[in-house]
Amino acid sequence: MHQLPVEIWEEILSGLSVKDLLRFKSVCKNLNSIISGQHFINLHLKKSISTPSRHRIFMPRDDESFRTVEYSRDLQGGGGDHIDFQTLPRPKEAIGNFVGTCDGLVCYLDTITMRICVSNPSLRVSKTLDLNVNRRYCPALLFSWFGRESSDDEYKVVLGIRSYDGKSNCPKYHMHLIKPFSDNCSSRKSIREVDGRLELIWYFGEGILLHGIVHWISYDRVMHTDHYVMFTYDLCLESVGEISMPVGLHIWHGVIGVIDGCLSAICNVYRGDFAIYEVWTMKEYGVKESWTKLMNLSGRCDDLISASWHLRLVGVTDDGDLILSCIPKHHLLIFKVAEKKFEILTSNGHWFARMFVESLVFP
Amino acid sequence: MAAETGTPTTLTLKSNDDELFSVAESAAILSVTIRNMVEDGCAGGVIPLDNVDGKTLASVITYMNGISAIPADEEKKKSYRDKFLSDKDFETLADMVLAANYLNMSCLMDAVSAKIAQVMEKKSVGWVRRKFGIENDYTPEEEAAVKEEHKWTFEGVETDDDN
Repeated sequence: MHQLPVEIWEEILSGLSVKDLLRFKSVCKNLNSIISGQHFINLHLKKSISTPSRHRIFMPRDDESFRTVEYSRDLQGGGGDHIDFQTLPRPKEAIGNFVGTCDGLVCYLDTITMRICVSNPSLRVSKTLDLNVNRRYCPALLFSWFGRESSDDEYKVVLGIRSYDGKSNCPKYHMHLIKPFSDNCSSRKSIREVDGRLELIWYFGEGILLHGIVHWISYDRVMHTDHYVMFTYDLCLESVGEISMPVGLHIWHGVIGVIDGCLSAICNVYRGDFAIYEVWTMKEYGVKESWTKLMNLSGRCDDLISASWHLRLVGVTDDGDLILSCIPKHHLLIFKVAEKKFEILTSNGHWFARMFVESLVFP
Repeated sequence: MAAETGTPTTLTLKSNDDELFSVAESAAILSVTIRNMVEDGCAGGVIPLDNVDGKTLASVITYMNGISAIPADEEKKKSYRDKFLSDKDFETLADMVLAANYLNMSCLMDAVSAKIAQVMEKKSVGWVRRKFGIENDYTPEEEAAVKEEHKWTFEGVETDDDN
């Protein structure tokens, strides 16, 4: 048969899994060079992101492996607990705090050595980067984010770190912006001290990216009484800010995420004598009056979740249903919006479950 | 033009092995290559398609007629495409992907590429070389090195004994 031109090869190969592609590098030099090329890596990633059947859920494990599961095939339609988890080896450098996952890459911060590890478990390749933070001053990670922001398409890590300078008992707060793949050493890391606002942050968590700004939900220790705010970090301007949570809500516990392109919060709210889960969304970004209640998550969930649990928004399905992880029970739940009810996707889930696509992106 | 006369215009397509095919213009212009020729007024006589043989062109025309008969319903079009490709063997799919590329028919191109990828899942390196007629241009040392680097991807591969 005729030799296929490169663009047709790329079109065909972009429909294959990472494992098949790595194997087909052995077919001939031409295929190896196509599969290794940046153009194809980007094409394959773009196709994976836009193909729902390639969306997986990633779950770290406490032992030596990661697990991923295909959401649409394995979990939909009563996968129950007979699910075909795919196991990926966990690189030995990927220890400590889970920072985040993006485009098939997984990021960890080892708080003992203060080293960042970015790994692509599908490729079995990882890279570590020393933060050069003096460990003598007891650095503590307050919050973190890892991802790619569309304005420059560069992968970035944001860390909020508290440390002591050794002279006084007053802690210092620093925001670290790291571009782990940047060739330019001088722009790879930028660190700035942040004023007392960071003292407000009591809650450790992974940030949520929207409009080039990373958001963390935080508990205002100064204001006390049920006062949550969103702490923000603008990746372009490298500036910090704040966004209000819904006014007048007595939040016992809350998480944030993006639903339908809007910043949203799942809040465990006191209504009368008991707490229920409510989903709120900020229709107009940054306008606190635009917070609108989308729905209650309380309907018929009594047997599956308890108001004393913590929920975390893993993602939103193409049908608009919410995928949630929870503790203390490690369930992965789906809230079917139309039917207003919870179902268990798997009781063998993980708090840090995340939406995931396999990729060829080289760390 | 069809719009002016009120009667459907028919085009005549010629394959590279000199077979002639009649096809309604409304179906044929799914191919951007053909549509451009029609718009440039080059479609008066016979349209020669030098890169497509008669057997493949017959298949493509079946597809053109089938898919253009379906009203704007992406679900139905998708299920037609799936059904259309379901009984095609590998060689036909490979010919069709080249034809779809030459004729610039993105919907057929996407569907055939996806179908070929689906067939390639879990296949061995030898299978790919054989089916695509690819010559192994690695030295034995180079090939061993590439395989060693991705050793784990050779687990769970379909055995290599099929035709």
